[in-house]
Amino acid sequence: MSSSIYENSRDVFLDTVNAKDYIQLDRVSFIYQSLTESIAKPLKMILLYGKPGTGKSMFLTKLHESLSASQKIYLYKTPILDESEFFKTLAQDLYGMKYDDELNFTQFMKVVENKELTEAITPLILLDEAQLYSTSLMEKIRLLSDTRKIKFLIALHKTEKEDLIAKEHFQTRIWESIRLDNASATELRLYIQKKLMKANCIDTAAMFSPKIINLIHELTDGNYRDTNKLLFTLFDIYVHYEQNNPLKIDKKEISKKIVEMAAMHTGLIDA
Amino acid sequence: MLNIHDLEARHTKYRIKQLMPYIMLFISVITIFILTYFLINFSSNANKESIAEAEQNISQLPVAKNSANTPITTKEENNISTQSSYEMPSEEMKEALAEEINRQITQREESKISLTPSLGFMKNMQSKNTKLYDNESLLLKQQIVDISAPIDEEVAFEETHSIQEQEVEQKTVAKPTVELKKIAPTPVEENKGSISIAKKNDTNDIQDVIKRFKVNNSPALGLFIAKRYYQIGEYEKAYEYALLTNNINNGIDESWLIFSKSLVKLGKKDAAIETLKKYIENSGSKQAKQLLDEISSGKFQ
Repeated sequence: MSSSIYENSRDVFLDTVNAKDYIQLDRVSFIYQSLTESIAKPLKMILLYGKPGTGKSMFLTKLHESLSASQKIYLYKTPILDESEFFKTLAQDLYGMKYDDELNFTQFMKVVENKELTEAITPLILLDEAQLYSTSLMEKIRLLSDTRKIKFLIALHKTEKEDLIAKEHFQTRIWESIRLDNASATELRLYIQKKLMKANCIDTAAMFSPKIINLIHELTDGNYRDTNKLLFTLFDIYVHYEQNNPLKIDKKEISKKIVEMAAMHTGLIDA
Repeated sequence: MLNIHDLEARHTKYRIKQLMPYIMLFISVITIFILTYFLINFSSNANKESIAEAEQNISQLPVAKNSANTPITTKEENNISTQSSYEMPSEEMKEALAEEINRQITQREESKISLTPSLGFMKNMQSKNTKLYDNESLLLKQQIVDISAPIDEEVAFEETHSIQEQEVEQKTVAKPTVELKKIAPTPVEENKGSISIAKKNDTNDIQDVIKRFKVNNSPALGLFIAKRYYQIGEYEKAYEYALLTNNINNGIDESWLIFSKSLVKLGKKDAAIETLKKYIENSGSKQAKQLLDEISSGKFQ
């Protein structure tokens, strides 16, 4: 039994971080370009920050995929909170050295200092969710970057309570910060339509009127993760109606009512 | 797992919640419109009523003027002496009349209606003057009228409608008295029938003053009404209005006098004496003493 267009469209918006799902938007492309240029510069640390759901993980994934062919680049999507484990993982990835016992910072620092750079380009470590690393470990990461033998790209949430940029280990180092923002209504329209068209869901892509896009933007504030959640639920409701009560759906245009119902289900509307 | 029914129900509630401010706004606007409509209607009705009242009052004025003017003309032209033995209006009555005039003026100004002068009084004057001219020979024969002869009470009442008119009246009445003394040193029998006075509708007049009295509770108006009722022989009403006036202001001599007189007329002589005694105790009024004496001695019945 072949799946319907609504089922296909629904699956497009499954909240997964996959480089293949990366959507090329003007602003995103510009930021991506800036990021690759920053990596090429002799910077010790690069900071990528933004609210949850603005695409930081996607950026790191895309960057990892793009640059892995040309240089040593390692992506740590999940923070390694244990210090010994963190250094052992770095030693393994960077130098192919496997440690069965504990590896403390001093021991690893000696290893790094003794190793000569074999390649012209400094190896790059991508740390996602860096706000979860302890201050002590962040200090050690800073010291490692001071050796100029490892470069770090740190992605973290910029919360209102905690102004991470003000933190000492970022202030005193040569670094570049790139901020990711939520999408505008136009970007969101492009994001939705490109994502659907990429999955060959042309019919459903055409169902999004500017009015509905504005409503979705209003509900999600242009947040990509929230948009994905909302549209997944939206098409899930469409699938339900298609199977149980097809007369209730208009195949020409996305229904405002169903958008609002999806928003209620995902918690974007408190009702 | 999606619960579509629950979602639909929640969505319906959400839509109602969303629409509620607009519904409230709509209801408010409708309510305001309805209220405004009723207010406009009410105010226009009130205007109509006040205009009608003003017209009624104004239509009454020329009659009063007419009746007040008639005897003056007669007296001047015929050099007939008539002693103004009618009761001079008290200060309270003057105030009441002044209020009445001011109110009518204000009403006319407020209502902004253009009034055309009624020529009815001219016709009345003409007709009465003609009558008087017809009686001229008779009047000349009589030549002199007893100075002490009292003028019909109606004349006094009608003349009290205007202070200005009253002043004119006093002047014109005073002059002939002097002249007449020279011409006719010996008094002759009075002839009341020679003076024709148009009597206006008393009931309407009193009702109008009662209306105003109910609105502003003026003791002057209360006294006026009591006096008026007393004059026309409705002693019970005179008693009631004098009592009301006393309740508003218990220091008006005249009001107590009317009150006591009305009691006597209603056959409650003892109550009248008792009231007067108490009032004299408090006020020491000479007029009250005089009336008490008259009642006690049986002069006033």
